[in-house]
Amino acid sequence: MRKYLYSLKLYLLSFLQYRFDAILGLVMSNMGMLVTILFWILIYRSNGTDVINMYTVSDMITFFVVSSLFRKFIINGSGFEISGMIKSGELSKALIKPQSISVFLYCKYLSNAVFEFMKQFLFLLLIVPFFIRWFTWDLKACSVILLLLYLLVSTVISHLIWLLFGMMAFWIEQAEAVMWSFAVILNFMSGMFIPLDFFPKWSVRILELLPFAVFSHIPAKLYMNKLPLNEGLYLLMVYIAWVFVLAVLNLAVWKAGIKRYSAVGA
Amino acid sequence: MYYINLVKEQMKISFMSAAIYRAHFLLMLLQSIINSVLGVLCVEFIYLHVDYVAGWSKNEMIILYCTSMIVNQLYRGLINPNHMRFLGSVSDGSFDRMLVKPVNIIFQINTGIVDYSSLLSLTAPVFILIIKLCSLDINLTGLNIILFLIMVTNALLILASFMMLLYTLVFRHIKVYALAEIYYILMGVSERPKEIFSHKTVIYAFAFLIPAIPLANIPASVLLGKGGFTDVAYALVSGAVFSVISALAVKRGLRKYSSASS
Repeated sequence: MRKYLYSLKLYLLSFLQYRFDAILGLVMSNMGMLVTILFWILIYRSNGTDVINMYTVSDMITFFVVSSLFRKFIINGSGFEISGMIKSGELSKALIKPQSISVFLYCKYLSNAVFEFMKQFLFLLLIVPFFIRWFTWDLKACSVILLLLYLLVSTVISHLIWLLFGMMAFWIEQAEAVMWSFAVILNFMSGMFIPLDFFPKWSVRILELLPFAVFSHIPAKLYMNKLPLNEGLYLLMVYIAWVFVLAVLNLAVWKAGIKRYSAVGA
Repeated sequence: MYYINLVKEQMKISFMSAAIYRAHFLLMLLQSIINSVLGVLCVEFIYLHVDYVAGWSKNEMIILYCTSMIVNQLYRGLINPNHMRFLGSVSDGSFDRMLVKPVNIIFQINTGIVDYSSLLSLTAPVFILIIKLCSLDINLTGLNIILFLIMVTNALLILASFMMLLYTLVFRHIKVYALAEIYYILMGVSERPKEIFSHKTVIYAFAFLIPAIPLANIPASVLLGKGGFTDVAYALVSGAVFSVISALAVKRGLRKYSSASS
């Protein structure tokens, strides 16, 4: 465990090396969310209504704020790192180390995610007093436990999906370009741009059952108490099933990929 | 003529580079097109639940979005790779090599690499924009189209100047990649109606201090016959002012620059 904790410490130190860039990045990344919120306020205001598609203005603002927090748990770095390792031949060095590459990458990027979450959370704590009347506060104790489980599952699913994408580098040279294309689609299907409930009715259920909804849409709905507890539990089971499916897929792709892998060097 | 020849050569080299990495080129092109299409889908989905947003109908909003995408792709295709190279060059010391070349430094900061995949992906927003224009019941004149093209070119000038102005902070802080986030914010604001800001002071701030409104709102308004002479004049003045200020900032930054190379 110490070696994984050490990678967390190293990450924190490297982050704080360029403080100007780090703080600016934090403020600026939230400005994008502010613009989205202002756009939705305009939609409500110009239509003279308080509710659109069962979402009040407060719900919408809460959705984007809470989603911005939960999205920090999307672990996509592992995919890009494994792809880079395969291309550069660095994977050879990693293979002889007494650790699982997948678990190592998961811990490394989980520490990154936790740190990003803390940063975002502290930033939101600073600005929340100014917007407190716009937020929905309806979180129940049982929802908190479920929410934590969702976040854990979200980290595992995102790690496995991106690792799968990253391992494409065993077969194709330009895996990163493919990964960026997938990233755009995944963001869209996870409800990053608009809540999935605003999609055509026929597609909402399908999208909720796919593993991408766990990244922010479902946890945000749970937080806003817009998801019944039994439905929340059912979907959690579905996502845990996805974890198994993705883990098996990862194992199969890793075994096939490592047979093809070759690297030059000492 | 010297600079035109340089641009020609740079375009040739970039094309040769794109030709070597054809798979990467095609995939990046695909990604940009997917990005445009998904953005349009988001607008379509919002309008499943509302008819108008601040007086903008669905097709008008898509035209605004596509205009923003056109400016965005032009910047990403022609300017952004060079701005990123500039940021990297100051921190790794390769900026010294740019200084010793017998070419204007502002020209070097803004030109060089051409990202053909971003440029070619312009086809998606242009195609959607034409379709939506045809479906609108508006009297589109040649003047509207010419003014639109001038405003888009001016928007590119504003965006390039503004980002270069920000990036001159690299001379002081060495690592300023987070400033690129401002570009995303600019584009985020530009693809939405300027009415998202209810206070006039904020509108003025996003018009004059952080010039997001002239990037797409004004070109789209001109195309849709919604924009007036004041808007056009303001956008042109804004382009000129930001060009001058950013050039001065580069000169000032150069005085502070101390090489990072060994």
